[in-house]
Amino acid sequence: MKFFNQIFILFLLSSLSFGSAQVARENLHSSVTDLGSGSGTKQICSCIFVMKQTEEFCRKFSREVLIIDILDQHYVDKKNRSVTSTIGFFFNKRTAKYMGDKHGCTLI
Amino acid sequence: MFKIFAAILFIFGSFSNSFIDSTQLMESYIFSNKEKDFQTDALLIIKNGKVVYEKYAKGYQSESRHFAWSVSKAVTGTLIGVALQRGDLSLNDRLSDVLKGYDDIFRDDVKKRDITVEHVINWASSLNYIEEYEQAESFTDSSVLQQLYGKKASKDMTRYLLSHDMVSTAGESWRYTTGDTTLLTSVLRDTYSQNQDNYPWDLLFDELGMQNVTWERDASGNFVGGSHLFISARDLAKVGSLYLNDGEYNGKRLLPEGYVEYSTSLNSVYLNNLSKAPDSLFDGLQSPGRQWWLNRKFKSPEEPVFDNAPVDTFMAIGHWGQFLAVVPSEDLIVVRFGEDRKGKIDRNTMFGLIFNYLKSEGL
Repeated sequence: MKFFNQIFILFLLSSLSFGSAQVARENLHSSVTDLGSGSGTKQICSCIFVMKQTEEFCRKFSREVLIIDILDQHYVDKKNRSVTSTIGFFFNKRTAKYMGDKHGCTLI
Repeated sequence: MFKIFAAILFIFGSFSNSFIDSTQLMESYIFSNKEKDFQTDALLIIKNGKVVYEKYAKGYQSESRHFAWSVSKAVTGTLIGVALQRGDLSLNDRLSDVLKGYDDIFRDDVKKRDITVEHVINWASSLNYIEEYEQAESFTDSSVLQQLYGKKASKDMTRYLLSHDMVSTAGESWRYTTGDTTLLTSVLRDTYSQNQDNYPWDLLFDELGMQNVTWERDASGNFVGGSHLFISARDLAKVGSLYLNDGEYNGKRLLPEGYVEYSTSLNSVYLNNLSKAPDSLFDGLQSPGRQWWLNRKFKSPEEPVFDNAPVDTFMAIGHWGQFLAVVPSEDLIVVRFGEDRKGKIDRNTMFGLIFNYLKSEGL
């Protein structure tokens, strides 16, 4: 059931992405899926590596930032201090990397 | 319902200092729990230069760096002040002269060539930036979400910000934006191009003895001046202390004389734009200074917006309820970090409980 829910949400988000791309005011604008994965990736990275909170807390925290960040495909690489997120199998992949004590996390 | 609870707490506390512990009263409201829709992670109160109250929620401590969100803007404004004091920058400098690598944008739209540092510090670049957050009806139309999380925009935020159309001549239209403040760090990045990784520490953080601060950057290396500062409550309070001391810290002048007054006076562009707007538009709204917010009513600036706090209170305010409040007449600094995603905490009640606490402690 969860799998079918995810398929449905992916379909919905892809439709929204297509629609928004058509009306984008700026050619630098990104789709709604891209914003969702970017937000989740960045929030989790900062939460774990800058705020030093637990991964469990940070995953929950990030899901509440943007409602579209609900597919929970975030991979935390504690060795390389980075977080990579994907939405679905072929949607946007985003990575946030911890750049050190002063500079925290950056979406790369 | 919750506001009624808060009001009862405050009224009860005001008349019953003798048998209700003012500390418990303050904590029972401010350190609320999830059922009350918000939580406080840190509360720090400094009176007459001394810490008189400090408490952290589970998972946080005095060294913890908490997201500051738009509280960052006041810190960015402070860095601009330091650059002015050092003579490295002028308020009249044009962004088109300072910024490097964006000649194509300034060539294509001549209006943008006239944007100055002063326009931007006034939140009046006049760029058509849309400041809407995660509750926006259309995520993709939100300039701030695009700036912070968009795949293309977040690579070089400066380019994204400057790509917005102008709504008027530079300096004429007031609009609170994360974009304008981030343009201030763009200016600082190119002013201190030989030291762009470290200038916030060299100019300000080390001078104030701040040790628990992180400032995140975009992929081009620009500090996200309008957001993305992570800082401990104690370190943030040091910025407040700099303002309480009129721009001096430990006897050293960091900000130009008059800069604190300039930053915490009513924003002149806002005044010009909205002087004919109906009074009802401003109900409960603090008035903007320059990268700070004032406890002054826009139409009658001698009256406070929050009547439980003195009218000279000014604040740096961030998403989800973060704030730094500075009260010169009381020699008081308050830092609050937390999560209030639904905007449930009543700031006036909070001030009332804090002043009630100070009074009961004889402070």
